[in-house]
Amino acid sequence: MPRHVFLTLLAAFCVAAGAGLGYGQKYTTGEAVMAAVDARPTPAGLISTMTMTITTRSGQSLTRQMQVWSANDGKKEVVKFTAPPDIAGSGFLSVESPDGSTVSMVYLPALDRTRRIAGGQKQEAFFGSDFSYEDISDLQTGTHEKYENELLKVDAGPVYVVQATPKPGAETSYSKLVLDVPEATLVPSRIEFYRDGALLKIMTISKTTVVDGYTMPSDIRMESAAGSTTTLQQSDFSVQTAIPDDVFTERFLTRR
Amino acid sequence: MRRIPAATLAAHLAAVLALSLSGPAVAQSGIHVGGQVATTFGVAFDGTIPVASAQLELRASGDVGGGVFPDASFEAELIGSYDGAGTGTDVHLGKAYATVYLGDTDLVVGQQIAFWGSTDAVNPEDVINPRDLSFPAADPADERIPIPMVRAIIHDGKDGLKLDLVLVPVFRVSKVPGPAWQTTSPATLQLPPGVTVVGQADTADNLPAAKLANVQFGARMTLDLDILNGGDVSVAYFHGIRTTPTASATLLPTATPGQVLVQPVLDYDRYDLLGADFSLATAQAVFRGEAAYTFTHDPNGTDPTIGNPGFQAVLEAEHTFPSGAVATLEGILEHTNGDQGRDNAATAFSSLATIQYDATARLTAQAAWLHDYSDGSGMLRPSLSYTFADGVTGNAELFVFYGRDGSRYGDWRDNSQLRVGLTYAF
Repeated sequence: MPRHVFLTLLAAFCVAAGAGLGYGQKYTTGEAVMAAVDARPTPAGLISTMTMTITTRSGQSLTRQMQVWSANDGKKEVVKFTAPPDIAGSGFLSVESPDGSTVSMVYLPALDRTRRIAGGQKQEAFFGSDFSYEDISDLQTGTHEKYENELLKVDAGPVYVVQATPKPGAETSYSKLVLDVPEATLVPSRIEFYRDGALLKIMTISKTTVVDGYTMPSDIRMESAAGSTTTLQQSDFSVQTAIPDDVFTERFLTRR
Repeated sequence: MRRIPAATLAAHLAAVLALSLSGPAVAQSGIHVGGQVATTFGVAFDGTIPVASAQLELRASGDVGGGVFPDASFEAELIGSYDGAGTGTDVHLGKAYATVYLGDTDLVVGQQIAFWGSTDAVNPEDVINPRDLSFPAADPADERIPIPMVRAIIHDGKDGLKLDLVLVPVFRVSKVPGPAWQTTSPATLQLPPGVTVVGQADTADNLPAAKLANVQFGARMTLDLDILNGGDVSVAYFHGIRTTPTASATLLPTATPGQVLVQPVLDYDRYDLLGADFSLATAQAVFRGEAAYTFTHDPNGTDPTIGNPGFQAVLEAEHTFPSGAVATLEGILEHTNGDQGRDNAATAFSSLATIQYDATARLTAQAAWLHDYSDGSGMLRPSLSYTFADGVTGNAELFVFYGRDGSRYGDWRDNSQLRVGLTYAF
């Protein structure tokens, strides 16, 4: 065989072998994908505005607006509602301890008091939306260290499809997540949430915004199997070098 | 391109720089005006209309100064209402207070509500504000009447400590339930031999005067606990005056020997309250507890014009089911010491069970069941709330009282009623 023909065949084989990884993928395991998601640079502190639109199965909509303070990869978070007027001033505080347990409380101005929420109560609907308190807490960067991650397949893009199942003792209400992770952004573009094996809801991130070099989800849609949907639009991002600890306190939560 | 002279550019830059540097020092301020319109209609099981009201609430709030906490803030409410079935027209000031943020201390001065306690619905420590008890089955949060007070809340975030100091300069009485809710109690007046009652004199209402001796005050200290999913424990002390009267009667002689008038007397007991409460969150439930002992100035039960000491304790557990329904169960123990020489100490045990379920983003269903095991009476309260649009909520509540005649809630059977309302917040 002429030498140049051999080299051509060898090159073709190498290309084909490379393609076997799937679309020139960079990661070969689910753990590697999710480790990269977790390693994605995130700001030390972030303040943003969220507009939440809840649409029932019959098509009627309700809108809520809130301001969000987040630090430590979302492990500290305060959410305060600014509209509509009947729930304005209500808020939610979540602080995750180094041991993984989370202290959560809500403030309801009508009652003039704060109430602690159980860890398991984080599965409760977040102020009537299709998001749970847990989803809101995990929104900024996710908490994928809680899960064992298996790479199911790689789609064009490449987009990694990862199945995440909770590690024993992990504080989550879901039995399984299936995430689509585009390699380009490493921000999951679609997440299926399962509880007791049944598909509960699907979250889609259709738009990301880059602020000061950080990629943030800005248009998020949660669709429940029951037929209702909630969209979250994040805007007015303000990247902070540090948010004072005073923000993540009951005192700040109850401040009018 | 037209060139900008270097001197002009430098002047502009200097101005911009000066403005940007002065930014943090310039006080920021903002005022928000809002409120709500609310209507309520009710019909009782005996066919009466207990309420047909409309209410307008105007609210203003604002703050001055930047940073995590402003330098100061204020909140004020003006409430006007008309109830065609009962109280008529009423215009009054609701909350009206200002807060000054002094480092770790919030100094709150004005007409306000100070809530102490951890549990829901029944709070032995929640004694600072008087109540509007004109509809005794209302939500406790809606019953509190704001009163003038000076309050300092000192936060020690590093150690998770909070000290709440309260000073109430002037006594204000609770609004007592209307005639339909006032149950009869057996008369205990002992008449001397040969004396006849010929009538009733006007009630003597011994309201505490506005003077230094009647100033109420207290303190509550809270410590955050770094255990499980968070917890806290508090101790409280309050030196106060009961906002509901202790009723007694006295005999007034008339011009005719042997004939007397009965005069009802309303007195307001001085007391000292010692209380403690906690809340503890776990992965699956939240536990709350609260207890308080009230010392009155009649420890032995010898003075009929002063209420006897008593104790109240509440233990609560809250759990959220996978469906999202939130259930709570409370046990409530109440004890009042008896009069000296009489076997009339009263102990009652009640339970309160509630469940709330958000059926959709718009529809919330709730139910509460209060049962007094000492006399078998109680109340059932199912309700529905529906959000028609952003800020517009309708609700329907059914109040059903049961029990035998003379029992705690049985005497209110005829007051069982349905209430519907619509609230438009703006």
